[in-house]
Amino acid sequence: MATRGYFKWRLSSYGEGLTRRVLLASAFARVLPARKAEVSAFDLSLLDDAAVPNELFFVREHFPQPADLSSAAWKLSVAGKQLSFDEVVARPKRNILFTLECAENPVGGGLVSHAEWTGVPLASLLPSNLPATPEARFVTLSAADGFSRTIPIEKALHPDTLIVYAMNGEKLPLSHGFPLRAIVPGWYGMDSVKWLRGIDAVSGAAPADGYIRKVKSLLSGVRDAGRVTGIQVKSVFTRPQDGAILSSRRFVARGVAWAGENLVSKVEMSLDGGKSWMPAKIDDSPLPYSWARWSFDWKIPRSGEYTLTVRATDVKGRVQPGEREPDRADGYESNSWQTIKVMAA
Amino acid sequence: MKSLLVSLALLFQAGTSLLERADEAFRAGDLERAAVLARQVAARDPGAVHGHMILGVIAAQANQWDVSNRHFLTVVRLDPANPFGYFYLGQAKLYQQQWAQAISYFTKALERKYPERERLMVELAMAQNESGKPQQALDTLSKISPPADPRQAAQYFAVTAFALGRFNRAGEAIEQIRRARQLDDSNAHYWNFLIDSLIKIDEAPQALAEAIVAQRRFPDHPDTQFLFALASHHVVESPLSKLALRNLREAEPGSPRVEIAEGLLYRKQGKTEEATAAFQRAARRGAPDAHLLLGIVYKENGDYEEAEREYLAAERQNPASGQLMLELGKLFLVRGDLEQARQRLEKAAEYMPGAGTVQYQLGLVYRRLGQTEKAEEHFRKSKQP
Repeated sequence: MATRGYFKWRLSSYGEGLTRRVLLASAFARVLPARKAEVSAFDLSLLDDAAVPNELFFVREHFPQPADLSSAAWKLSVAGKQLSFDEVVARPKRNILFTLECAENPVGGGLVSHAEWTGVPLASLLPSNLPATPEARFVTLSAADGFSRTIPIEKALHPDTLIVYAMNGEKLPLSHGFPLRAIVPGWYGMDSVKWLRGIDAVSGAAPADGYIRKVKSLLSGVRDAGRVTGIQVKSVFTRPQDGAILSSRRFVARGVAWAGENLVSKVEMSLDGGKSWMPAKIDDSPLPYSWARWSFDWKIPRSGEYTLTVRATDVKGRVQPGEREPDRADGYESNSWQTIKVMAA
Repeated sequence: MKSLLVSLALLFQAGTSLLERADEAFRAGDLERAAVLARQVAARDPGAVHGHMILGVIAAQANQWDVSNRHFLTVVRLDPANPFGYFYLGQAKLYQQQWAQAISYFTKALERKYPERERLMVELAMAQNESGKPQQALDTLSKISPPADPRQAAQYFAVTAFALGRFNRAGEAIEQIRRARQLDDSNAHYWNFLIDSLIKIDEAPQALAEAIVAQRRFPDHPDTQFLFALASHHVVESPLSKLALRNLREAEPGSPRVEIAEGLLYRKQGKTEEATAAFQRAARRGAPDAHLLLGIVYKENGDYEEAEREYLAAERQNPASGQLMLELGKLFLVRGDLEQARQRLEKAAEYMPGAGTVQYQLGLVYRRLGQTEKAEEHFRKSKQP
């Protein structure tokens, strides 16, 4: 006889541990090994406010974090001139909201977070004659860990490109580039160089410093197809997450969507693998460089497994693709739809 | 006569195939069809035990207890030696939290040699533990090995954990519930018990780490989200209390526990008045531990009389709370009522055997009572990991 056992446990008590105690937040403590580059994703299910708390912000290092970081002893070399940390922060400051994403962030991944950044425009640190110098086409940003990136002079001189010293109103944490880092808003995170030590103008061709799009072709094998720069339009679920088990017949699905230098214009959810779409509500006023939270009031008709898909479109009409281009031979800019499976009990 | 016999034979044959179809539909999960067919079986042959069984199980799964009880009672009336009827009656009573009746029916199923003995013993132990007899539950479980089926094995370890929890053997309970969860991580209650137990033994960071994973897996389970809020509150640096409150509001809108979670958040933000008001609202609505929290807030503000009043109200509601005994003990200690302090703190130690803070407070009490050796012993225990 086929039977389904039903087993129900009700907690006989909870909340007996209620008291005020001072305890270390080892729940999120990340042990940083002395000489290894750290990568840790932001748990998207923990998103509440638009800004991600510093201790939860994703971390991506290319090389191990430098030792002996100190703002007092810090020197930033700008086109050959040495500036102290105090000289940098004494300049007129700006605040920018920017959703930073790692170029290697997978679909649905947590190598993305949002913060308010405080600093000075990079342009204000460069020599005043720099734009007029015909040879200067790029600016190289060099870090104390040995990492460096080169960005076009136009982007370096953009008023929103900053050298920052604070994140969400607090001084930059060590793992996020203390004491100074670059913020190149709207572009993938590798250009927002941490532990910034040097800014130099470069003439001629840009040095080959990685993050190149690669495509496969039958005729020429794998070829370069340009640098990875601006962040592509993308969206993710924060709630529910893949594999979640839902108890009720109504659930507010939530997530975030972003589009780099552009604004998100719409977010849609599908329950049939992308055959049809329903509009989600965008809960934040769209801002440049910033993700916007979205929500969808989902009435669940019956118990069973459901497949949910989300996609975003930006103001330029660019919509997330259903799948990654099959001829891409690199792991950057993964921005196809996110699809998750959940169970309604 | 011959035609009557033929008709009866045909009727019987039709009835049998109807029953088979009902059984098939049930096994395939088509409960509507199974119910229709089973009702036809019952209508044609009221003595068809199997048809009543199907109807009883379908009704039980829809929480139609009167209907299910009626069918199962019919089964045991028609076939008193049939263990299944008693087993399903036991399950129905278990689900309705009528523990004594569940125990009685399971015992009868056992006497009639219900074939899935291990499964039955696990459910019997569950009922025994829930009826306040954890030792009986442990004794029952000791007579079997964990079932081979992973879900049933998970239940075995879970019931063991729940029973150990009643003896305040939190460390062992945690070990058992972890085994249950390893076998079946889709049961929110296992996660919730683990988080609650970790909070009880003062392992707040671990509790929070588990709660973070649990809230992701069960995003609208009210108990899970409430425990997430509690665990986040206990880890002072946690920035997740506001998120946990939002999740709880969506999972259990307007509930007294939302008032508790609000109060905890206000407390974390240093907003004492707002926290007090939230706890008062929760207390008026009978939320567990609301009086305890009010007592803590009043004590923090130096209002010991109000704190004592609230703690005593909490004690009337739930005298077996280790945390409450600790807070009462501390309050009586501050007020110089050493004997009351000692009694409450000894109780706290019984409920929270590993809690260093309880041992420390006992050390203070015994020192004030002039019992130096005992004081030293408790201070030593307070430093043990």
